[in-house]
Amino acid sequence: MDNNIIKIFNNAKLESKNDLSEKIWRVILLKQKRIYRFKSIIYSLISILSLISFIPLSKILINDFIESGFYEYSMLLFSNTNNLIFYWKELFYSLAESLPALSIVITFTVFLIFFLSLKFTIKQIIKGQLSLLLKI
Amino acid sequence: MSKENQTDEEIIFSYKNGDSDLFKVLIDRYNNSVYNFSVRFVGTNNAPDITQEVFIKIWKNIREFDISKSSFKTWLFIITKNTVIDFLKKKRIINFSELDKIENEYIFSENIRDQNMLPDEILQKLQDINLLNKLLDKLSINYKTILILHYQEEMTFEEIGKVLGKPLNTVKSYHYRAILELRKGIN
Repeated sequence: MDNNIIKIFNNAKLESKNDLSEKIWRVILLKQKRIYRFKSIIYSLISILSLISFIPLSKILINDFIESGFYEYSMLLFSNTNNLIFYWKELFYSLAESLPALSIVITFTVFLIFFLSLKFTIKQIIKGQLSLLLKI
Repeated sequence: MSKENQTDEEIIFSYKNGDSDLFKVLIDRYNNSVYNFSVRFVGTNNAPDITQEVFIKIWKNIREFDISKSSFKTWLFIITKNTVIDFLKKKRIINFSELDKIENEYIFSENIRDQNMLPDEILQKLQDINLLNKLLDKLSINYKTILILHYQEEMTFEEIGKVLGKPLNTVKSYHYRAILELRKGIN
């Protein structure tokens, strides 16, 4: 490439105002802040809803444990030790069969959702606060 | 190594790994280049908004940017060109067919020689910045793009081909015809 032509063309380069770069950066930071705020609202709503739903879910779980007979079978573990040694297989299968699997899975899932949404909420709040402190 | 001395690729790598401040370095580095390119198509009133829109698009999509497909600068100017064209179409300043006009194009072989396409007496006249800018303004979109990206941004014809979405020989042909148009304008 001919250096003379490059020099001539570079002299004709048109420059923006000095503050355009700053203006663009501020716009991006504001958009970023809005995203953090939106995400923290959504995640905190999810964590609140999952925490609230935990109350009826735990009631249902306890009820299911009692109605399925799991509670009675588990009490057998603390009764006659001799019988336990002979019939441990049958007791184990009864306990496994009576386990309210669906309720456990649902409760655990809601628990997980609560903790993950709480973690993401805190993360978004920290990111938003940092950007507020450092940049704008 | 200071942030300003890092390459584009290093900055993008660090940005993707959590150093979000580094995006400002990219804006500072390319702000004038994007402005200079945009202003020649959309004018001084609209160029700042176009420049801003380009960097916002870059910011939104930078995590998907793949360094193996093109350099950051090439990607930046692809977005700049597309943003400018979208603006011009919206304002109905150009129509779609104008962009693909062949203009009696003659595709040269790879052995195009561009030595002495601009002899010294013509270069002397082009040192008048106002004249050069006026001549550039008269060129078509593709010709103007090639001259700006090749001589002001020092991009290769391969990179410009990616920006324009044209094969290398077409870009070389456009370049040759753009220089001829400049000479015609001076004469």
